[in-house]
Amino acid sequence: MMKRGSSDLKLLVVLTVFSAVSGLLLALVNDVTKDRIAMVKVIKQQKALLEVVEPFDTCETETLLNDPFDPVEAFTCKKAGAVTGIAVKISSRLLSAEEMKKLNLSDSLKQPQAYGDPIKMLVGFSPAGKISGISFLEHKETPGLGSNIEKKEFKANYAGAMVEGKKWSVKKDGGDVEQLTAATITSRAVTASVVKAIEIYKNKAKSLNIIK
Amino acid sequence: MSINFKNELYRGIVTENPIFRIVLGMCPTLATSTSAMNALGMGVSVIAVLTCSNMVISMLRNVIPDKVRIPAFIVVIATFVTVVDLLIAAFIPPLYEALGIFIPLIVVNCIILGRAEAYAAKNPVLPSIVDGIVMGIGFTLSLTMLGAMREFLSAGMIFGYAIAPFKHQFILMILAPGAFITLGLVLAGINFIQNKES
Repeated sequence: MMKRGSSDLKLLVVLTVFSAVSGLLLALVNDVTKDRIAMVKVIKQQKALLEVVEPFDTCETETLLNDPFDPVEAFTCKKAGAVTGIAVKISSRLLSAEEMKKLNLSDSLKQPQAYGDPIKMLVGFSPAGKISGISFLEHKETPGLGSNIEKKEFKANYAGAMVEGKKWSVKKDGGDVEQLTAATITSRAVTASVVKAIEIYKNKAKSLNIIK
Repeated sequence: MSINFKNELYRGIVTENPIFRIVLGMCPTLATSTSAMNALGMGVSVIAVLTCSNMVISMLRNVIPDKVRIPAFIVVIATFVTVVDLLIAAFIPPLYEALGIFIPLIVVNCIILGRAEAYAAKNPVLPSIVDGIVMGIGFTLSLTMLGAMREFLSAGMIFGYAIAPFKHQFILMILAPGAFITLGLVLAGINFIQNKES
């Protein structure tokens, strides 16, 4: 049984000790797992890269927006010297006006948010201006509803479509993207992030003289 | 003191079923019963966390003063869930891929706190571990049942396999109202059977 009638000082001491031990334990576990988790994420990103762009020998990484947790990056992938694809790593995070400017994105772009943390994704493009694939790196959407973004049927909204070939908003908002049942908010957040990726791809492709 | 696992299991699944009898942990229940597979994933995560948190709380039960037991339990459970989250993410990535999205939901699961308060705080370590296992199993079975019902009613499928002879879509059942309707009907049915028996 638990002890009854403890003095206030004892309560204070016990709770303080509990919190301190728990804080220490969390710091310890975080320290042990930090590097491995980072490594797991890198591996996941590498796999995603293979998934979203055509086969390549090497990929050049360019950090467009520095952020310790959520950077925006562009990967230019080449095979035998020729560009086979460009991939953009982006999230649904709300970017400040300054950050939008850094990325050469128009202020008028809408930035709807997802339910959970920002959805991180990798969007691949072919040199001809086609979205060659999309892969979700991290998300915390509701299982069974928002998490259905991982399904092939939803990804098919983007993968295989020409950059200029679709109206990039969900059907509810008058666009061509088939929103997920019961997860319109998540679908909006993903679509708006893809729009950002498309703009970044266009800028990148122009600078490489792939498109005009 | 010996534990009759069969009796305990009966207690976890029938007489003290966490969802249908104690009606605890409704938030994740309503959220993850959209399909049988989701429900099973959540259930398995809960079995693991509940068993371990019961064990830890039971070990600490003589150290924790009565007056501050709830904040102490919450500190222990939240720490524990975070540690599990980090360890799985670092060392078992495939498991994290499958169950990672459920772990934040476990923190808000009242069953964990409920069993700590109702059982683990008053009982020795071994029975508390058994309590965690049987309650987790009861939770998993009930949740999977709800998930299968909602999946069947909404899309005619169970575990992703088409069962219904015709293809249909009934969106209401995947949405939040579908969760309340299904749970309400099942609870009513259980009460009906019990009233008839007594």
